[in-house]
Amino acid sequence: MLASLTKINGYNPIKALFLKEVWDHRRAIIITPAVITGLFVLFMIAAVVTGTEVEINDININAQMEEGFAEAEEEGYTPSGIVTRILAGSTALLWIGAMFAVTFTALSSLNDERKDGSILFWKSMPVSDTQEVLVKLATVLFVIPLAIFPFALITEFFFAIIITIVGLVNGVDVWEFFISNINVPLLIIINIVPPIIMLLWLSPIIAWFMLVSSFSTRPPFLVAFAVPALIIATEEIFFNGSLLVAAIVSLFENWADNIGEGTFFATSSFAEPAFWVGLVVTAALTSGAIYFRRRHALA
Amino acid sequence: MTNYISAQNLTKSYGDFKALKDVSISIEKGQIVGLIGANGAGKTTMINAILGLTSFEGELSVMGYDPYTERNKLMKDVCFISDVATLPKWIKVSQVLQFVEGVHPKFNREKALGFLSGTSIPMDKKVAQLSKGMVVQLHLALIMAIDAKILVLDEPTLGLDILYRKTFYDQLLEDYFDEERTILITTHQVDEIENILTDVIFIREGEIMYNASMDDTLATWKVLDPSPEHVEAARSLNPYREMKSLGRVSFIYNNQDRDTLKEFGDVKRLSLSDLFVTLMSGE
Repeated sequence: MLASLTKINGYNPIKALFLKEVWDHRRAIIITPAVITGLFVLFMIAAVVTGTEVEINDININAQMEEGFAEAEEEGYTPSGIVTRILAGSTALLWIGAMFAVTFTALSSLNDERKDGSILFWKSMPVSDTQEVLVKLATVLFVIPLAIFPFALITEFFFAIIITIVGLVNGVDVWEFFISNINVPLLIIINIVPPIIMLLWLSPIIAWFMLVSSFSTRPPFLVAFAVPALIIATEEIFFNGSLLVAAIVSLFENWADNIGEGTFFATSSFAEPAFWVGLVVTAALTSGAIYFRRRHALA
Repeated sequence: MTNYISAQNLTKSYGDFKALKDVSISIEKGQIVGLIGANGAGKTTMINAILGLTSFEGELSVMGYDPYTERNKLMKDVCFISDVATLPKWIKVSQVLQFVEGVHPKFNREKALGFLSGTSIPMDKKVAQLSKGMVVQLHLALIMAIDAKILVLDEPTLGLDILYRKTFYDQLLEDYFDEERTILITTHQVDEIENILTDVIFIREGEIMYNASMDDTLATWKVLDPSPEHVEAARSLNPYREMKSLGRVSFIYNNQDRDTLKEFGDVKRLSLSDLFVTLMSGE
C-alpha cells in the first residue's frame, strides 16, 4: 500500500504535486521525526537497562494508583482517558520537531524554487500556480502532521512497553491499571485530530510565512519576523498599543481555550468565530502568495 | 497553414523602459524559427510572454490561449527548455520521470526511458550529481517524450561542449520534429542552428528588425568575393555592405541576381551571423 502511495503511474497531478513536496522536504517531513523517534526509543531502552531509580519499593503502589485514579475520576477524567493522554504525552518531542518542520517548510516553500531556477521547470508543466501553492499549503497543514502519525504510534508503543516493564518490576497490576485502560481508537484520534486543528488555528502564521517566501528576495526567515516587528514597533510608537499583537495573542488564547476539553479540539474549535476569522486571513494571505508566484519567475 | 503563435502590437514595459515595442509576428505549424538578437534585445521577454511567464500589453494568442491567464492549459501543448529553467537539483532522475508522468497528460514514460537508455544517465542519481550535459540530455528526453505542438528553446545548449550541442540538435530533428510541430529557438550560437531553421527573426531594442523564411533569406542575400579586376564594377552594383578582411574585399547584396554577380567573382550564401551583423550594424 505504501508503494502505491509513493509511486506515480499515469496522469494524477494532485498526487504528483504532493509527492514532489514530500521528496523536496524529505528531511523535515520524514527524516526529522524518524531521528527523534529513534533517539527517544534508544533513550528509553537505555534508561530501563541502566536505570534503577524508577524502582519504588517502599510503598503500596497498587493502592496509590487506585487512589490516584479515583481522584481523577472525581474531576471528570476516566482511567482510560488518563492513560491514553499519558501515552500521547510521550510524543511531545515529535511535535516540537514538527513545529520547526512547519516553520521552515513554509518559509522555503516558494523561495527555494526561485533561488535555484527550478520554478521555470515547474512552470513548464501544465499545473496552475493556484494548484501549486494550495498543495504546498496543504502539505504543511496536513502532510507534516499525518507523516508524524506512524512515528507517534511507534513512540507510544515503546513508551507503553517501558511503562509495563517498570510497572512489572515494581509489582504494579499492569493489566488492571495500564494495559486495559489503553483506548487505541482514542489514541489514534489524539495523534491525528488535535495536531491538524492546531495547525489550522496557526494557519494565518503559516500562510504569512508562505507569502513572504513568495515575494522576498532576502532570506524569508528574517523578513517573516522583521516585518511584523516593524509594524508592532510603529503601532506602539504612534498608537500606544498594537492591533497586530492583540490579534496574535487572541489567536493563541483562542487556540489554548480549545485544548483538552475532551473534544480533542475539533468540535469546540469549529464553534469559535476566531477560528473562522483565522481561516479567512489564511485565504487572503494565500491569494497573495499565488499572485506573487504567478508574477515572479525568478528571485 | 495553422497559426500557432500570433502577436499583435505586443508591448512589455518595465517602468519607462520598453522591452518589447509593438511586436507583431505570426508563427505557424511546421516552422523552426530562430529568434536572434543581442543581449537585452527583448528575446527572453518575448519568449516569457509566449510562455505565460509575464504579463503584456497588446494581443497574444498561443495555440488559441491567452498565455498569461491560461498558462496551465497552454502547457499541455507547449514545452520549453531554457538555460535558466533548470531541473531541481534535489530530485532523482526516477522521480522527475514520475512527476512529469503525473502532471502531464501527453507524457509517454516509455518513450523517455527509450531516449535515456541511449545515454549514461543513472536513474537513481540526483540531478545535482549529473554533469551539465547530462542534465540537458535528461531535460531533452523529458520534453521529447511529451506530445506537444510547440517547443520553445531559450539558449538550450549554453555551457555545453560542442559534442553535446551537436547531439542535442541532431536528436531534436531526427526524433522530435515533424510538420505538426513548431520550434522556436533563441541562441547566441547562430551558426550551429542556421541549417535547421525554416524562418528567422532578428530583434533589436524590442523591435522586430527582420522576419523572413530561410529560403527567402538565402535567395535574396548573397556574398560576392570579386576578382581584383572586378572590385569597382561590383561596387557599382550598390552592395548593401562592403567587408574587408585580410586585404580582400567582399560585398553583400540584397536582391541582386546571382547570374549577374557570378560575372564578377565567387558568389556564396550569406551566413546568418553575417546577415545579423550586416542588418544590426548597417544603419
